[in-house]
Amino acid sequence: MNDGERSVTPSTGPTRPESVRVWDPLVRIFHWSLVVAFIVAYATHEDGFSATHLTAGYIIAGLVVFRLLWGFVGSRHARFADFVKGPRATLGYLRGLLTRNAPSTLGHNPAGGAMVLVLLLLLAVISLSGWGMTTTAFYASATLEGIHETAVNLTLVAIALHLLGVIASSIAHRENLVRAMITGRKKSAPAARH
Amino acid sequence: MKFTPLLAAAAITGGLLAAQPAAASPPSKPCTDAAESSWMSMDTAKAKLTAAGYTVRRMKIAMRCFEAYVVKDGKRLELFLDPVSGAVVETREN
Repeated sequence: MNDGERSVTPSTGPTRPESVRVWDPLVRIFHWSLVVAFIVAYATHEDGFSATHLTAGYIIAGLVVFRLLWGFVGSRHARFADFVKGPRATLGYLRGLLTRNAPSTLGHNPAGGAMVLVLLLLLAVISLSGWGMTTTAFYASATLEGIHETAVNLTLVAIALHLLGVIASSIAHRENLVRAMITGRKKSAPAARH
Repeated sequence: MKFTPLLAAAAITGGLLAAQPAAASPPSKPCTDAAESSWMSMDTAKAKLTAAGYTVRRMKIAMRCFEAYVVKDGKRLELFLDPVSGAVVETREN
């Protein structure tokens, strides 16, 4: 399961010897579990009180809580301190993508890091408003439903931007970022990274 | 080997979701065939529910039923009413 140190011995591991481990297993499990749970939750939104929709929602809420904690105590590139860079760096990176000189980072690039925060915030709003509608105090609340649905629609926009960003950065850095989120590994070019 | 955690995650997530009963969302059938002109007003139906001791949180029309989200004795219920008679056709606890 833990294949992270195998490439220390060059050319004997199953992966390219020049690749390095970036995403720890929990980050990857988090990411793809969230994808599955979100798709299921969205597909079952017509019957919001169904066991499937509620279960998917609780899984999402649990994943969000885990990721917030992991952002402080997780592995190096899982930490918020590693990838939350502020608006200036984020806009600078996006501008760099257009002018083909976006700086390459080993972990999340500044725009990807900002997207992590946006998605976690939106998912937290969706989870809380959804849960609220199941409580007696706010049962079937139209206000919460409005918040829930608006946050979902914003999340769909954010997911679209996330996918566009993954494609753009994959091209810009000649690195398949989808595969990196599966294998946990990226090409290493330490001199060019920070 | 490197895919093991992802496979495990997919299996756990999929398993939890597949374990849920695949009940069709209520109502199972329309509550009436009668023309909408013969329906009572939603306010009248709401008044009937209130008189019956339900706290009505929200009402709408679904599958030719009045759908009412109500609370009674601390229970969160979803009622489906025949819009002509106002009778409860189906109840679900949420």
